[in-house]
Amino acid sequence: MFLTIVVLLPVLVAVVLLASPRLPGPVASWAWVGASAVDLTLIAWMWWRFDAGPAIDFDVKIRWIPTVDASYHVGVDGLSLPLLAMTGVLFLACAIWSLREQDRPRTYAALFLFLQTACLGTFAALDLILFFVFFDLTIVGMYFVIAGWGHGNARRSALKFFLYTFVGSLALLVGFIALFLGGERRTFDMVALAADPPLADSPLAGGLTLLAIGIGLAVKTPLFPFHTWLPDAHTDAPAAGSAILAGVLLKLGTYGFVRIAMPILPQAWQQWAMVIVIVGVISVVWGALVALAQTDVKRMIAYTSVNHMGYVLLGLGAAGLVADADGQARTVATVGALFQMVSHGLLTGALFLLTGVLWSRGRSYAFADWGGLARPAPVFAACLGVAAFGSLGLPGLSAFVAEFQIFTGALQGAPIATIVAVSGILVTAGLFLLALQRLLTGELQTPSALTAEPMRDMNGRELISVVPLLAMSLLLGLAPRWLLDVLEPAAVAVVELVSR
Amino acid sequence: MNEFIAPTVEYAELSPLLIVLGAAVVGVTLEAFLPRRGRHRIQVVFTLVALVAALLATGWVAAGLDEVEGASGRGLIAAEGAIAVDGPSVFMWGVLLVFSIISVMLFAERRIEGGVSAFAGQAAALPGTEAEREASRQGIEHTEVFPLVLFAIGGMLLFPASNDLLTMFIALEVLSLPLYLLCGLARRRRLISQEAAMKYFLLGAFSSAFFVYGIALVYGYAGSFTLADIHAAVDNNTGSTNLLLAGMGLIAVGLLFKVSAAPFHAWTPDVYQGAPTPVTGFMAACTKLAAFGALLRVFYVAFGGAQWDWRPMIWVVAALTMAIGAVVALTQSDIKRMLAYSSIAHAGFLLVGFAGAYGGDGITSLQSVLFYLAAYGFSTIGAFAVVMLVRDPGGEATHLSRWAGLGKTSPLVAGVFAFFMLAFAGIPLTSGFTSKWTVFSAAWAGGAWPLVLLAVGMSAVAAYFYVRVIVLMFFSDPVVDGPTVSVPSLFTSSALVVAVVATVVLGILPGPVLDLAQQAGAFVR
Amino acid sequence: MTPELVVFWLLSVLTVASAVMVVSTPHVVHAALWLVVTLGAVAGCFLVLTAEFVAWVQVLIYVGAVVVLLLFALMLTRSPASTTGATSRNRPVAAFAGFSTFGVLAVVLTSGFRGIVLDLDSQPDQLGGAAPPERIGDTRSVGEAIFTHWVLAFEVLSVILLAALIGAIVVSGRVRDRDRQEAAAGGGS
Repeated sequence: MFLTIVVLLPVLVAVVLLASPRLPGPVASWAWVGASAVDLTLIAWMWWRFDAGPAIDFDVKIRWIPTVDASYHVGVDGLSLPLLAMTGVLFLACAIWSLREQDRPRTYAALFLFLQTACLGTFAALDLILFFVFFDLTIVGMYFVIAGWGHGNARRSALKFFLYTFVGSLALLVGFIALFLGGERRTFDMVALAADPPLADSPLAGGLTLLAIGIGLAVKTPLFPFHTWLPDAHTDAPAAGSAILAGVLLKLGTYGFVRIAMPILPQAWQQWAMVIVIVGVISVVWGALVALAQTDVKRMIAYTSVNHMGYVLLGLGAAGLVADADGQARTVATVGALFQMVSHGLLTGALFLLTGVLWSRGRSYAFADWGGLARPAPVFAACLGVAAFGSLGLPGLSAFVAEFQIFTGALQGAPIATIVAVSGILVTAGLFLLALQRLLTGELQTPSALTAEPMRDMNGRELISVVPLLAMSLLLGLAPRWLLDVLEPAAVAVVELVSR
Repeated sequence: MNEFIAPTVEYAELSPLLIVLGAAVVGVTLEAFLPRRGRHRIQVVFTLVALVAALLATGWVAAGLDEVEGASGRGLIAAEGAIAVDGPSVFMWGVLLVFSIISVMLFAERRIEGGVSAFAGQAAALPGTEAEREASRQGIEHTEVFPLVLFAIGGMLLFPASNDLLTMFIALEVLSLPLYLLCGLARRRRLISQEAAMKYFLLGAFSSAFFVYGIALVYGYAGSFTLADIHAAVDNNTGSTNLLLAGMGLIAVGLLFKVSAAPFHAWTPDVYQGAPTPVTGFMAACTKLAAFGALLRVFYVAFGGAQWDWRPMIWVVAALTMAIGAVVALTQSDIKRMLAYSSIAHAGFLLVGFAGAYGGDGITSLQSVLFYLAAYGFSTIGAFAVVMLVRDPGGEATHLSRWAGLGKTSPLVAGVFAFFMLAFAGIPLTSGFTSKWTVFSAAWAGGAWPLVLLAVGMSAVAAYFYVRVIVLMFFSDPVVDGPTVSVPSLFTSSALVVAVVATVVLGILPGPVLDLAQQAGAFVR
Repeated sequence: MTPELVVFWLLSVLTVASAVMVVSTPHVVHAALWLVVTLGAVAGCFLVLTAEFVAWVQVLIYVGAVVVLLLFALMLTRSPASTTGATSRNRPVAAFAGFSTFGVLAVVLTSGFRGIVLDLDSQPDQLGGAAPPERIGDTRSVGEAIFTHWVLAFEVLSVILLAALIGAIVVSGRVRDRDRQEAAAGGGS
């Protein structure tokens, strides 16, 4: 029941917030911070109690729809625990960031708390229907965040986001139904399905089911060519919304690959592993090159997400290349992919919050409007520098550990693909350095909206939300062991399941 | 000369039907003898009491159904073979009566029109004349709508339970005739209301004629009206296949007309728009349920053996219905017409379920369609109830542009409507999601995966126009002197509460109702 | 060709011809009168087919009651005596649809029933009566079938008539003066 409390606590607070229309805005914002902090504490306690191993902890299973054997089944293992923790951290950071929200703060807080429950629920779910329910609810929540609190062409972007990901989720639903009907035992339980994989004897049906699930998850991740909703949604979303969208919601897609596609459809995954690797590499290169061409900071960061998620797919695809690589290499690739999910969440979350600083000062993201910010805003410059270097994979920060492992693991199975992907790193490094140069150095330049007043540096609230994210990334980069200890047994288990 | 043998009628098992029809007749008598002043109140109370009594009787009948020997279903054939009181019948009776109770509560609403009901004060007065103005000034209203709706409900109870085609035809007429009338009785915008009634009547009569012709041909094929005999004839392949095919086709036309499936859907938008909104909600939920029940019974029980002949037809109709409903809804600017096209699209999704697996483990198509109908009915009555509340000085504000910014002026009503829209779109935690995946699973299990893929695409198209309404209500600026939201009486509010709660509960905890639909089991014959 | 068949053919031609007149004459009263001919000829067909009960019901109810009612309705309402041309551009399409439907049904019926002969004297009862009657279609067998097997359908039919009656009153009846005063006294609440 403990995990259930962790999942449902935010939405309960959200209901209380919605039910009290007289509540002053600041109180609502602080209630959000409080709820997220308590939730993070509970997750930390779970981490402390967690027994590193492939087994599922905090397992709860309650019959829900008995006729189709769907149940409320949640649990935590090495795959989901780090992502749950990352979700908790990021939502707390966004809560602190949004303390000064002026526009309907009560509804805003309630919406984010609802979103937090949906995200935590997706990571904790061990039943396909439950997973799908939470997965879809994140779409609804994020839609309202973008449409209601975004700027620019927010309504259009929100609708595009909604329709795109909704179509993706329907493809996912079709895949789940196929899994349900394909099994010996008709069930939606992921553990039972992974133990006895459905559609094992028909490669065609297995492949098509993987295709349906893959499209559903690829839209969410997003992978080339399903990524076109992402830049628009990010550009027009509020800073906290972007941070959650990039930091947490994208991970729902990659997490779905590890949690559902790999263990439940092992044969299909092996068969199509090379295709997955190639899609990953295309996303890496495409994301990097398009990011290079952007004239808008936020769009650029959005495209680097496509690039980073490509690395994850590369690692996961390499885990399926059973014939070409030994078990250890495949495990290393998987661990790297899992590590990348956590690392990207922290770094991209920080980057998007930092772009929020630009917006709050000058209402613009365009590179052309900004320049020489290092002098008036040194703290901002330092934070942006750390985040950018982390994101491009500088040793000492978390992304390096992740990408290094992915390349090491994938090199044996897919050498050419890996080499191409490494070139993506070069492009990313170039584009981040270019961005830093444009924004921080040179003549001081600010948008016309800001000319009357001097550029303010980051304030305490902004620092408290961003710095911990960067600090954790640094910690993971310098001492990755404590996260690897949790990830490795789970990765070994997944690799074993895939190689059946 | 041999003696006349009196027929046996199982009065106990038929009690729900008899209560409703009996109450309708008594209601007519009340109409004749009661003074006009108290008539409305007494009619409302009497109708509701009768419906609740029928619902209780249905529960009692359901508890007492026996297993049929040698078959999978439970129930019995009553009234000399005219009615099959089996699991699906009883399930549909229960759901129908619940929908009817909610609808009658909407019929009874008088506060939002300023003390009179949504029905014309004097239908015989020509629109725009002095007689009409006088009637509305004096608060005269037609309380005959309550007996009429009871007649329609009686027909709807009989329709999906009929065990022979002749009874089914008569039930079709009993349910249609009062509906034609009710459609023409709107208090506001009477001309389009009367046009709706006329159109519905003409096309309805036409489709009934097709239905009867089909019955005649099938009789020629099987030599019997009874579904079981037709089943036997199909299995033994006696008679001319041409007659069977033509008969099946014509019967299907009659039934598909009633469920508003394409290409027999042309009446739906006009009638839904013109009819008084409570009647529209009643038709969208109850007529659809009864007609789908009859469709399932005829095709599974009588023509089950010829399914390879009719299945392709259903595939085509399902695909066409979904596509037309979802795509044309995109272009609508009137909220009632949009809901009408949405109802056509939902008929398409239901047909996808119908094309699925009849038997087998997992979700059968009967179970999924029954669940879908129950879930959809609550949301659709609720949605039309909200439409009743949003008003301009001249009546309901049905033009979509008038709804802009409603979320800012009346967040509660807009929130409830947005919730129904999300349910129609099939977002999780609403009943729409559960019903959609049960239908898709049933269809997939039955091998109709191309239909499922199309249905998935069409759900996405449909989601667009549902979300568009939400965008319009919450993220647009309110129109100047926009519509007001009337505060309804207890009737409409409680109907809305029931609809919302049912939509939530069927989304979060669908288990019990799915179980009920499963226990309903198969049709008996 | 037996004499019965000749009579039947003549009646059929009469039915079709007068039916065409019903829909083509511009005068509504003439249409109603042509309808009498059509329905009467159909009754004749029934008689030739030895369905005597149905034939007399047809005469009594349709020719006797329904058409008379129709004429009364035409006379009492202010409906125009002749219709304006209700033609539309869809006419060719409608004609095509009508003729093709007719073609399909004609083919189906002839292929389905060709060569089927009902022996009226020894055929076992098909309408569900308790004992084999002397002849199919006579009043006795119809009566027995209606009041045993079809009793429910028969009773429900009366409900339709009642509903139609109420409906007719609703759409046409004016509120009586007594009611109007009552309503006025009630303040319209």
